[in-house]
Amino acid sequence: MKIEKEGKDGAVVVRIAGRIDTTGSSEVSDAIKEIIESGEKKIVVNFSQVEYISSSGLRVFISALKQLKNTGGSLILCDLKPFVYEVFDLAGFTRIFVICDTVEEALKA
Amino acid sequence: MKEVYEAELSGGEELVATVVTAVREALEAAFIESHTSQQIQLSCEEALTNTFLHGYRGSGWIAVRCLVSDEEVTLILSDKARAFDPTLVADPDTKGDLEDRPIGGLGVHLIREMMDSFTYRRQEDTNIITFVKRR
Repeated sequence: MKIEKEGKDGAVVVRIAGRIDTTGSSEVSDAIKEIIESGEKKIVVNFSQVEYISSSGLRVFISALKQLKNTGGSLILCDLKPFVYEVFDLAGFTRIFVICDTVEEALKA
Repeated sequence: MKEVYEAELSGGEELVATVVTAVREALEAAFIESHTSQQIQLSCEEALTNTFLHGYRGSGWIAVRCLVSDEEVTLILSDKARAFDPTLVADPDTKGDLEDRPIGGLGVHLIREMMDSFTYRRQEDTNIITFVKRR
C-alpha cells in the first residue's frame, strides 16, 4: 500500500496504490482522517492504482464523506477501475459520491 | 471438479489476508479470469472477517476449500464459532440519502450480489458457508 498526498488547485489529491482490503483500509482511513483534521475542505481520491476494494474500504469513504459534508467540504473519487466501480455501484455508493473519470475533471467539479 | 486450495488454520483476523492471498494465487494458477477471481476474493474476505469479528470475537479455527470445474468455482468456508447463518442477514439501505446510509453491513450484500449461489448449513458444531461462482 502506497499513499501520496499532493495539494493542487485548492484541493488535496490523494493517490492510493494497492488493495483497499481489511488490512489496507486502516492505512487509508488514517491518511484521510489526517487531511480532514488539518482543515482541508476538498479531497480528491485518485483510484487509478487500486484494483481491489472490500466493504472495509467502503466504510472508510462513507465515513469521510459524512464527516466532510457536515463541515461543508467535499470528497470526489476518480479513475475507478471496473471492479472498484462495481463494488461502489452494488453498495449504492455511486448515487451518493461524486465520481469523475480523471483527476483534472475532479479538480474542476 | 479439481481442488486448487485447501487449508485448516487457527488464529485471528490476520488469517483473512493470508487466506485471500492464497485463494487469489490458486485461482490465478487455475486460469480463472481476474474479475471473477476478485469477486470470489471479496466474498471470501467479507465472510471470514465476519467469522472472526462477530462469530469468534477473536481467534478460532477455520477450514477453506476451493474447487474449480469447467463451469464454476466453489469456495467452502468452515468455522466452529457460534451458529450463525449469514444468508439471513437483511440487505442494507443502498438507495437512500447519505444521512440514512449505514456505515457498515455491506459485506453480505456484496456477496449476495456477486456470487451465483451463497448457502449456509450447520453440521454439528461447524458453520459451513458455500459460494458458487460460474466461470
